[in-house]
Amino acid sequence: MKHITPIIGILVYLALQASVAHRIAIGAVEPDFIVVCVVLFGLQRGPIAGSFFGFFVGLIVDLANPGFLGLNALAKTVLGYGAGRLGAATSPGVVVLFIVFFVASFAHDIIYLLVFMWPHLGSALVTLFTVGLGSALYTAIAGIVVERLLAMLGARVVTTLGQTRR
Amino acid sequence: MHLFEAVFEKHRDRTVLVVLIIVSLGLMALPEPAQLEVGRSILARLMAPAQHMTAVMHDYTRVHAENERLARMVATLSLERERLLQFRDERERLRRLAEFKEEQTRKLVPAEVIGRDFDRLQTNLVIDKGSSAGFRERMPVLSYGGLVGSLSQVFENTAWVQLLSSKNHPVSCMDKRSRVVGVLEWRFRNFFELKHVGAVEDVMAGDTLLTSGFGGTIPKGYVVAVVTRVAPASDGLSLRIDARSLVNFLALEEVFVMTDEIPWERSLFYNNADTSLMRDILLRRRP
Repeated sequence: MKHITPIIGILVYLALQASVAHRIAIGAVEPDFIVVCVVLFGLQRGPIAGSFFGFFVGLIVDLANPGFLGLNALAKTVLGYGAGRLGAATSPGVVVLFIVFFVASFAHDIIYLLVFMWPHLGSALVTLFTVGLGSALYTAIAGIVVERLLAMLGARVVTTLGQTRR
Repeated sequence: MHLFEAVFEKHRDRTVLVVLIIVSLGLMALPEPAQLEVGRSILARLMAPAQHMTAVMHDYTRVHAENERLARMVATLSLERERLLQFRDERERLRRLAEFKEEQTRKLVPAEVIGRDFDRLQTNLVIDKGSSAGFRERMPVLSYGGLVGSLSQVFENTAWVQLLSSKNHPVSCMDKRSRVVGVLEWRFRNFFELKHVGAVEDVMAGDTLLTSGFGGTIPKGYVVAVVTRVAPASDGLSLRIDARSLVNFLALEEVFVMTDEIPWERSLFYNNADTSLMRDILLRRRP
């Protein structure tokens, strides 16, 4: 069960990203449920599991666009690691969680866009501030909604960073 | 080595992070064709179970849809059959009133092909039944694709079949649509030519050629070939009509020999067909 849950989680979040995200998009801005997934997993399971989880989820996402194989794996590995470190160190609360999601999404976009658009850094920055900021905000809201929904369903969620409860 | 182990023990999470970043960068550094290859390879392995499940589901959906379609077809055919039986009875009554000869059908006896002659063009087959099964010379022989030929020699337990794909086995045929009659002669493989058809006659590509019944050896109405091309003949008086048999004369494994005539009323197909399944389907589909 310990290994099945993350797999089911990945499938659910991938399905959300593939079927829901573009339907609730505001222009080019849409939430990133995969980032939410990696952050929640990292917060719960720590940096090592978070890194591995981020890498594999990123690799799965990359497989849809093998021309940039490894890019999502890189960005999400860093995200999983960061979330894992944070989960072991900081204080609870919805506001903090909101900030964590926001920063994670924005950091993800920084890594992704810088590598993806290299060496056209100007274009990367324009995209980052026109799309990345909005997406980070939307992802943070979506992350809080998902976390609360999971809590209502009785799932294992992050209620205090660094600790988890049923 | 000890230093490496010590660093790993102390900074396990960072080591994992660095390794995964290096792997990610390594993947990114691959040339694009290699990336596509790796991507496809991993995707194929990951997706195989899902694809298998999808295939099973798709197959189930297909079979389900096909079953629905066949059930509808059976229901339709069952109704059509009832209608045709009524027509048949009516036709028989009218034929009797008009004092026509009673129409009959033939019994088909299956036989297995057990040999061929040594002629390169394979104009004869040997089958595993003979006079003990009621076979006589010149009895017509059919396969699923239509007329095959006729019995040329009959022994007690075997018989020789002279195929239509033989220079000396012309058959009188009739166009199913326009009822134009001609003589079908073999050309090569399963290609034939319908001869002695006037230039003004109505024969078109795609028409089915049936046995005409002329000559009395081969009964009327059995499929022989399909017209493939119609053009004016060089003499200007007749048509050049090419036709193709649906029988693969080189791959025949079983044939049916038409034996005794029996009245239509005794025909197994019309009167003894198992209609219980049809009835079930019709009842099930009734609103």
